[in-house]
Amino acid sequence: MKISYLPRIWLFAAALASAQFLSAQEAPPPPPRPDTIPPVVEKAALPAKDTTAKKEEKKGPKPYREIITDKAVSMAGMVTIHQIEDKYFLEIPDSMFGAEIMSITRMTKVPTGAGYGGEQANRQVIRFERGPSDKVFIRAVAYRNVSSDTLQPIYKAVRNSNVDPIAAAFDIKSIRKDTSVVIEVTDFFKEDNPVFSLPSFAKQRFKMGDLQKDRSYIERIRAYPINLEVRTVKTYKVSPPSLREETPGTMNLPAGLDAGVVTFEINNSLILLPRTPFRKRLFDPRVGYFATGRTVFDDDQQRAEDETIAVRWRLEPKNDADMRRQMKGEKIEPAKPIVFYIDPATPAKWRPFLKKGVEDWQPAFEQAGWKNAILARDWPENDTTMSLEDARFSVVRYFASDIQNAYGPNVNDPRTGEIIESHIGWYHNVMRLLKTWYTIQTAAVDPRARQNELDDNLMGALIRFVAAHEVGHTIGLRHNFGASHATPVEKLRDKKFMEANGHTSSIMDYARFNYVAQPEDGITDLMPRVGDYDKWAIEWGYKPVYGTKDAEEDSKVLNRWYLEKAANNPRLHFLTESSAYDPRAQSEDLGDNSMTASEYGIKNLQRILPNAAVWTKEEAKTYGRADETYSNVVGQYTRYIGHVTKWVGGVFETPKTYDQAGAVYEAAPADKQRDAVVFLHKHLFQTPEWLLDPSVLRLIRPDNGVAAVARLQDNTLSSLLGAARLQRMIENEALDPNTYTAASLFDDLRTGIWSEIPARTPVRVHRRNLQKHLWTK
Amino acid sequence: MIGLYQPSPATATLHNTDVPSLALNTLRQLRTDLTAAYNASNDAMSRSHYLDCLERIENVLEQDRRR
Repeated sequence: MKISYLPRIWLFAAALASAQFLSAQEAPPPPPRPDTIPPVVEKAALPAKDTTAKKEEKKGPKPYREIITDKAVSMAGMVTIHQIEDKYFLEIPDSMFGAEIMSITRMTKVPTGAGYGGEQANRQVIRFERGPSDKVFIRAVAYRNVSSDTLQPIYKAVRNSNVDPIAAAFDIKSIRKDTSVVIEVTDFFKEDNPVFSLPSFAKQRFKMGDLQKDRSYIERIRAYPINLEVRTVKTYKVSPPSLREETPGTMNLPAGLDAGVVTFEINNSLILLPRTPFRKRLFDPRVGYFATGRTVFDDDQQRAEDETIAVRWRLEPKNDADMRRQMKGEKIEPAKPIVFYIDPATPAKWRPFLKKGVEDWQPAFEQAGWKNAILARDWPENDTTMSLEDARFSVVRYFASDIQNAYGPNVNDPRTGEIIESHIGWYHNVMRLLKTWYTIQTAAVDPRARQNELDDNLMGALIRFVAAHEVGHTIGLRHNFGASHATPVEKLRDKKFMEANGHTSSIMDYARFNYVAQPEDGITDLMPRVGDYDKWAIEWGYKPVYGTKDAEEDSKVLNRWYLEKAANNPRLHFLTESSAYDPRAQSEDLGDNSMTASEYGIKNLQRILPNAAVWTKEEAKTYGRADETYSNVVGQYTRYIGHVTKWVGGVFETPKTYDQAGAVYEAAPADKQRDAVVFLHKHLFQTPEWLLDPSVLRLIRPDNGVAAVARLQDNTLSSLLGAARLQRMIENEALDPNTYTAASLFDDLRTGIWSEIPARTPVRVHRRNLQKHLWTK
Repeated sequence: MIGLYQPSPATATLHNTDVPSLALNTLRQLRTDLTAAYNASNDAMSRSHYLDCLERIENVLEQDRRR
């Protein structure tokens, strides 16, 4: 059986590092306190007094030796795990009862189509609790309603109204008085349960039914100082495809079609949440942090307060002397830096670039008073005490997948927002996306982008940029879609300005590459970088606030920092990634004026498109790459149209506090809105002939783009005349008659789309289509 | 614009705003312009197109009158 060789591995590991192992021959020390344990290699053995234990009763706890026999293979950590043949027992120290534990469920191996190995499937805070009748309960803990002080009477009211569900119950097999209790967890982990298995929506989606017990097993359980790792294999029956219409949102996994079952390998990490509370930092909508929220009840309040907490890593000085140095303005190293390991499955040539992407954040932390606060390391492949799924380690995981993406999640303590760990997901095929972006946005100015395979150094630089972006998420930062708006369009063509500042103030924007730069500008650095906003955001989130008593006081200090440093500096502003109406906050846009930026962008696309079949040429290949390039040009052009359209009826939303002058909401300037409609007439409603280049189209398409152009025009007209936009324009006009009104929009559309009438010129086919499309609006 | 008189759920909420009036005015203006353009055009395809558009405008205005 697979698990039989584990003891040898553990013995070897014990000699090397923290997680240690005992064979079953020596007396066990009492389970250590989770905060302080050096993991102990131990043999489970019988305390002397247990040898005289009376004969076992049929029910209730039994003497320790009868349960944890000398066959036990044990491993001590935050709890002690004992394996006896195929049974697993958990010995829970008394000190662990009531402690809060984050349970993270990851799918480590999945059937084709069900996601990718390493992805998180579920998470939940739990705690062990002694129940009546010699039971141990696992409670699933929710943090929606909390009391700020457990000594206040209202704490009882909060508890009475927010009972945490008992997610599991175990019979106590043995009790070691004032020390620990033993429960058996074999069936619990082997079988299905909602806290430690796949979420129910995933099972419904993949039409999964009952767990197949004979094909499900525990692969291993390992204990570490602050966490327990449980690896299981679970097999589920699946419903066969139906001849009738399938329930929307469900699908059959290919493996299930053949075998009637699907098998997952699942890893549960149970991580002890910090006992010493981390000082929370209250969320501020002017600085883009991920946040966790709850409602707080307090005896001394007149209304329940919604509290939103920014999500951050715990960076603390090593000692008081360092703290004093930091208070004087010196940079110090944190007691525990943020460390990202690189998955050993990562192709070796890309590892240095991923590591650079991690450490690109060091200057930002230096601005916050920390040096060497964030580090990247290769995974120590020879260290058998370390596991990639171990939640103590943050890892950039590398997935063999055709998905063109990467993601940067984090696991945080819902009580304080403290980030415990992060596993960045890196899909191999993100390189295809990077190549596409870089070529479409920069090939007009960078000759290196004009080939099918990019030079490794260029691809490495692209990987570094995406790694830095994803790491930004893992240290708490959200997208800042407003960052690129802080750079005037003409500065995007200014070589010196670009060298000094880059084309966006934040790598957390979706600002990709500088598509505004023109060939004659001589700009060579076209990539985003950790910018002014990023450094400021890290300063706001990670610079310690000294001399205050709580998070409320901290928030006043942070507000002063904001007012002094950021309020009047647009490069440090944050705008959300989810605004439907603020044209400054857009994905994939650049500059402070989408019309001008898109004009330059289109000029570059007009340089790229005629080369679609030239730069992609390959001997003995068909025109697939040319077709791909053409589609990408159309996609980029469509993006520009979208950026411009958002200005019409746009409303700026600038989060402010009472301390700041000016409106939070204001209509986008009328001249910009009018310019947007002029742009749309010029570049969309007047047929974009350059996009219909027959020298390219005749190689890749049977049509000549008439229907495609009509579709794009139709979509844009629908968007312009959408109810939400027109309603906003009416609202804007109510406040300011000088704004760009709905009446102006109707007039401008009529005169622009029907411009042949006063000109008395014939109407060509694309325009006839456009004019007919208008009737369907 | 015209669809405001064959409202989809998305546009239905604008019925009691300025938008229907703006759309009607736009159509009436277009009808005048298109009539003049039709009379002045020598291009067969353009004339046919204008005529089609005029008929569609009339249909929509007629629907509005019947409301």
